[in-house]
Amino acid sequence: MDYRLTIRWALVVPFWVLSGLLTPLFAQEKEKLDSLNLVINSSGPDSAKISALIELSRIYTGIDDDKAFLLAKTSIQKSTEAGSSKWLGFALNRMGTLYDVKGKPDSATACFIKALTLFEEIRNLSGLAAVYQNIGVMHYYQKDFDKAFENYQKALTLRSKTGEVNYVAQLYNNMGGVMRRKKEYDSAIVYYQRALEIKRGLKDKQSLASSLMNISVAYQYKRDFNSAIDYMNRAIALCKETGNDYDLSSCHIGLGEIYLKMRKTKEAKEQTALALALAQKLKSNELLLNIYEEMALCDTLAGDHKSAFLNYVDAMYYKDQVYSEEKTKAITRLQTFYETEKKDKEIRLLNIDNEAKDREKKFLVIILSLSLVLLAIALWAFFNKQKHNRVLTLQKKEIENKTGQLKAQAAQIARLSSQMNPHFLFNALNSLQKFVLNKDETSTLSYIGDLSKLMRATLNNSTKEYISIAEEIAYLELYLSFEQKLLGAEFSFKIENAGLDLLLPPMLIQPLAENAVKHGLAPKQGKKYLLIFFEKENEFLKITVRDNGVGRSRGADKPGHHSVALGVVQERIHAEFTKQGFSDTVPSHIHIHDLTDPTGTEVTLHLPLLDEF
Amino acid sequence: MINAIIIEDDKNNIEVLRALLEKFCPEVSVTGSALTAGDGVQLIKANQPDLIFLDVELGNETGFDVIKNFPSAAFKIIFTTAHEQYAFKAIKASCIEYLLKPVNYRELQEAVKKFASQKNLSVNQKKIEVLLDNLGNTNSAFNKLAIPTSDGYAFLNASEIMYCQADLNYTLIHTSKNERLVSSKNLKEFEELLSAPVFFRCHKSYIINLNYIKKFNRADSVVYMTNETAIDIAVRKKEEFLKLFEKF
Repeated sequence: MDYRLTIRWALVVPFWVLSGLLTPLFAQEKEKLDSLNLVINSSGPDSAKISALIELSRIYTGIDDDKAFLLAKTSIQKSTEAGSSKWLGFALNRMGTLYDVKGKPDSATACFIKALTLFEEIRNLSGLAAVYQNIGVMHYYQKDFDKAFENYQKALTLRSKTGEVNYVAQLYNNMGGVMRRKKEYDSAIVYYQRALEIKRGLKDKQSLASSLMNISVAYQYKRDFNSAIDYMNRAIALCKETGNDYDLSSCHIGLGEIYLKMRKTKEAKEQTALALALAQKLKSNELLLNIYEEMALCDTLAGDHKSAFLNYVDAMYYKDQVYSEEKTKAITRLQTFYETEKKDKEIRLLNIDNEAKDREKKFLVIILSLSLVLLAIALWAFFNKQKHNRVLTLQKKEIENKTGQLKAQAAQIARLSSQMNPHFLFNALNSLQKFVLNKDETSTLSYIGDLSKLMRATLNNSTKEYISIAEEIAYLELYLSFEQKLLGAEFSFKIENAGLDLLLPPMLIQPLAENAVKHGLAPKQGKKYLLIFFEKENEFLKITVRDNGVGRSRGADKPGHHSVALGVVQERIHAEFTKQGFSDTVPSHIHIHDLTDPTGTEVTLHLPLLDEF
Repeated sequence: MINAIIIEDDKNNIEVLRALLEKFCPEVSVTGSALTAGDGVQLIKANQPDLIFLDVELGNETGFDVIKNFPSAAFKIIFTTAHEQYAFKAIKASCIEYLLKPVNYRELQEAVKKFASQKNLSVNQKKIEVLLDNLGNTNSAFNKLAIPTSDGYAFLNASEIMYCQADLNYTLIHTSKNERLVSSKNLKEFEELLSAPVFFRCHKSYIINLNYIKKFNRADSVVYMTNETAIDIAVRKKEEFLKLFEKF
C-alpha cells in the first residue's frame, strides 16, 4: 500500500518544484498570454519581443509542444537577426529544455552547450546559471541525480554572486528534490528549509506554501509523521491566506495520506472530505482521482468494502479522464519518435507486445477468483499494475535505448581506431613538401584533392555499420592509388570480386593492405604486387590479401609478433560473428601464411555471409 | 566573362577559391566577395552576378539566409561546404551544384562547365524553391525533389512517388498519376533522399511509398500497389516490413 502512495507523490511533487511541466492553463496565465501576444505584435524594441516569445514558449510547454517549439525557433531567429548574444543564449536555453521534454537529450545538450558558450563569451552570469539549472533538470529526469546536483550547485554559485535570491531559493528546492529521490531525507529537509527561509524573506507566500509541502513530504518519507503533519498544517494556513484552492486541496490530500499511513482513518476521512469540496469546485480531474483513491483506501482500512467499491468506481472514472489527457500527449510524442527513430520503435513494439500478453494473463486469473469485495480490490490492483507496467515499460525502453547507443558508440570507436595509421598521413605530407619545393602547382593541388577525398571516405565509412563489397573496393582503390603515388611505378595492385553482392563491416581490409605495403612491399626492391580477392567459401565470405614482399621473417612484422592493427581487426571480426549469432566454435577467423617461392605474405579472413536483401 | 562573387566566412578560403578560378577557369571573373550573409545580400544587389559561390555555413548564419532574400533569382549558385550534414542532403535533393572543401580544381572546372551549359533560369529558380521548401520543414524526409532526367529536370512532390525501380544505373520513377520518369541517379541515391516513415527500401531493385500499398500477400511476400503492380519484399526485409504495420 505504501508503494501506491509513493507513486502518487512522485507524480505530484516535481510539478510544484519545476514550474509546471503538465499543469493546465490557469486564469492568470491566460491573462499573461494575452499581454505577451500584445508585446510581440507591438512595434517595441526587439529585446522585449524576444523575451516575450521565450516566455510564451515556456507557457505552452506541455500544453502545445509544437507551438512551444515554433515560438522557441522564432526567438532564435529573431535574436540572431538582432545580433544579440544574450537573447540568443536564452532562446537556445529554451530550445534545449524543449528538446529535453521531447526526449531528445542529445539535441538538448547541443543547445545548452551553445548557450553556455555564448554566455561565457559575454560573461553573463545569470544566463550561465539559467542554463546550468536546466541541464540539472534534464539530468534529474534522466534519474542521473549526481549530475543533476552538480549542475544545480554550479547554478547556485553563480546566482549567489549575482544576488538573485529568488532563483537561489528555487535551486535549493530542486536540490532538496534530488536528495529526496536519493532517499537522503535529512539532507532534503535541510535544502528545503534553506529555500523556505529565503522565500520567507521575500514574502512570496504562494511558493512558501509549496516549500512547506515539500518539507512535509520529506518528513512523511522519513516516517516522522508528527513533523509531517505540522508542516502540512502550516502550508494549509498559508494556502487559505493566499486563496490558492488547488494547492489547498492538494494539502488536504497530503494530510489525509499522512493520517492513512498512521492508520487513523477517521482523521484521514475528514481531510479527504475537505479536499473533495475544493476539487469539485475546481473541476480538477487529477485532484478528484487522488481524492477518490484515498477515500477508497480509507474505507478498505475501515472495513467498509461496499463504500470502498463505490469510491474505486469514481476513482476509475477520473483516472480515465486524466489518462486520456496524458495519452493524447503521449501519442503526439510517440509520433515524433516514430518519424525519427525506426529502430527505437521496433524495440518498443516488442516490449508493448510482451507486456500486453503478461497483463492479459494476470487479469484473467484475478477475474476468476472474485466476490464483490474482491472485485473492488481486483480492479484496483489491475489499474495499479497498469500504472506500474507503464513505468516499467518506459524504464526498460530507456535502458535499451542507452545500451543501443553505447554499443553503437563502442563499435564506432573500434572502427575509428582501426583507421589508417598516422604514419601514412605523414608520408603523404612529406610528398606534398616535395611538390611545393619543386613549385609543381598542379601536382600539389591534385595531391591535396585526392588526400581529402580519401580522408572524407575514411570518415564516412567509419560512421557506417556495414558497407557493400563494391563500396569497400572503391575505398581500397582510393587508398592504394595513393600508396602507388608514394611507392612509384614499381608498385601495382589488383582487386577482384567473384561477383558477390554482400555486406561487410567497414575498415577491416585497409589495415591489412597497409600492413602488407608497410612491412612487406616498401622494404622490397623490384616489382611489388598487392592482390586482394573477395570470394565465397563454405558459407563464409573469404577475403585474401596477398603480397610478394620480403615476408615476415625479414620484415618488421616477425612471426609471433602481433601487430596492434591485426589485433583490432581480429577483435572486430569476432564481434561480428557473435552479432550474427555464431557461437565461439570458430576459433580464429584470420590466418597469416608465409609464402616462400616467391616470398611474400598472405592474410585470409572469413566473415559471416551477410546480404542486404 | 562570367560575373561571379564569393560569399564565404573564411578569408583564406576566399583567396584560395579566387586563385583557383583565376588559374583554372579564366572565363570566370570574380567581381567581389563577402564574409557575412548581410554583406552578401548587399553585394548581390550591387554586382548583379551570374554565379555565386556560396558557403553553406556562414558563422551563425547560413548561405540559405542569403538566397531567401531573392525569391526570383537571376543568378545561379554553386554551394561550397566542408562536411556532409542535413543541409547537404537537402542540396542533393534540389540538384543544385556543390563543391566539397578543400575545393578540387578538377571538380571546380566541372561545376563551372555545367553552369555554362545550363541556360534555363526558370529551372534554376525551381531548384532553389525545392531547396528552401525542404529546409523549411522539420521532418527527416523531404517534401520535394528535383530529378535529373535525360532532357533536363523534373520537379516532383515526394508524396506523388508511388515506387522507384532500379534499372542498371538508372532509376524508373512511377508516380501516382501513372507517369514514368527515367532518372540518371541510381536507386541508392534515391534511398538517401526518400526515407522513413513514408518510404521503404523493400528490395534490391525497389523503394516503395507505404501510402500506396493496397494489399500484402503474406505467403508470397508480395505487395500490391494501388495501380495493381506487384512488388516483391526481399526475404531479409520482410520482418522489418511487417513491423511497420504492427503499429496500425
